[in-house]
Amino acid sequence: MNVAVVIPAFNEGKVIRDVLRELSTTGYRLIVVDDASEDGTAVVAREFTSDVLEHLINRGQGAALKTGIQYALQTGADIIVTYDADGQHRVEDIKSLVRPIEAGECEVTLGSRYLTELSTQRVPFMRKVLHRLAVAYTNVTTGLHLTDTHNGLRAFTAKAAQRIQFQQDRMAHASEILEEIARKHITFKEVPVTVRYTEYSLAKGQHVGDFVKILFKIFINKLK
Amino acid sequence: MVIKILITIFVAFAVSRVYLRYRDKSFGIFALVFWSLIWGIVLFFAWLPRSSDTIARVLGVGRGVEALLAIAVVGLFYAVFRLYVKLEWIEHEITTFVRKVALQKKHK
Repeated sequence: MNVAVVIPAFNEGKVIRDVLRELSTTGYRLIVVDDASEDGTAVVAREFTSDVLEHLINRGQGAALKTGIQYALQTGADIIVTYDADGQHRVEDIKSLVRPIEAGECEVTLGSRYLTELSTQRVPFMRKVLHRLAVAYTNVTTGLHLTDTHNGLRAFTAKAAQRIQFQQDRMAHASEILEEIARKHITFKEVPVTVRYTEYSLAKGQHVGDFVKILFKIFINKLK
Repeated sequence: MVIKILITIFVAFAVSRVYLRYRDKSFGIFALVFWSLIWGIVLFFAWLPRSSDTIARVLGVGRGVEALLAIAVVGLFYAVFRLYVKLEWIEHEITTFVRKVALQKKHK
């Protein structure tokens, strides 16, 4: 099966080389979407893959992800994996995400850092609180039973990726993807993954203000 | 009296802007009528403030001025919401364009 890993990246020059070097060992096709970085992220990415797409201006992680997914679909991917560029994911977890899809068990797999005790212990306290609130909100509004909602590591069949239509350009896309899965009754499975929290990924990650913004965006979108 | 004159000058300026936008086709006939009506109402209450007491009685709030303020707040809230939606739409269009360029450049 043709597996494509989509990596949205914005100013990840410090870590993207290590991330792509690790990913290159998997043998999967790598698609990097440079979201108008100013630190040469795209130049580094080209050392590892010819599939580098560039946004002329910064549009956000959700927008970059959608560009990468569209390109993957246009170039014949059967399975599309989404992977953060900040070094927080482990390449070995990709196989765990792809396996259930290849076996035909489901159309989408979602990485969850809360499915194993081992990984739970690594999540900083404040993050854990915010994640719990986000999970509770998502479970109530979508009717899904999830343990993690804002994990960038996911995999979709090409058909599922086509059906999931998310519009949010920035961080709220993660919630929108889950809403689409619920609304369109797309079969999914949560897969245990480990998130590596480094100083770098913590600084780049979401904060309390971001969660408030995400909730506001979702609320306004429902009013439209 | 001074405030009435000031409001009248401001309304005249606002209506002239609306008309100019209609003339350069940025506004349609609906927007021209709608905004002219809104500014007309403002002018009406500026010169006949006591007539707002009738609205206050209908709405069940104390004085006419309070009724006008309540309506203004609701109106402003709605206007801000519409602006936000419009802004979101423009952002969405920009993203679509940026995506199109990125994909076209890659397929070349």
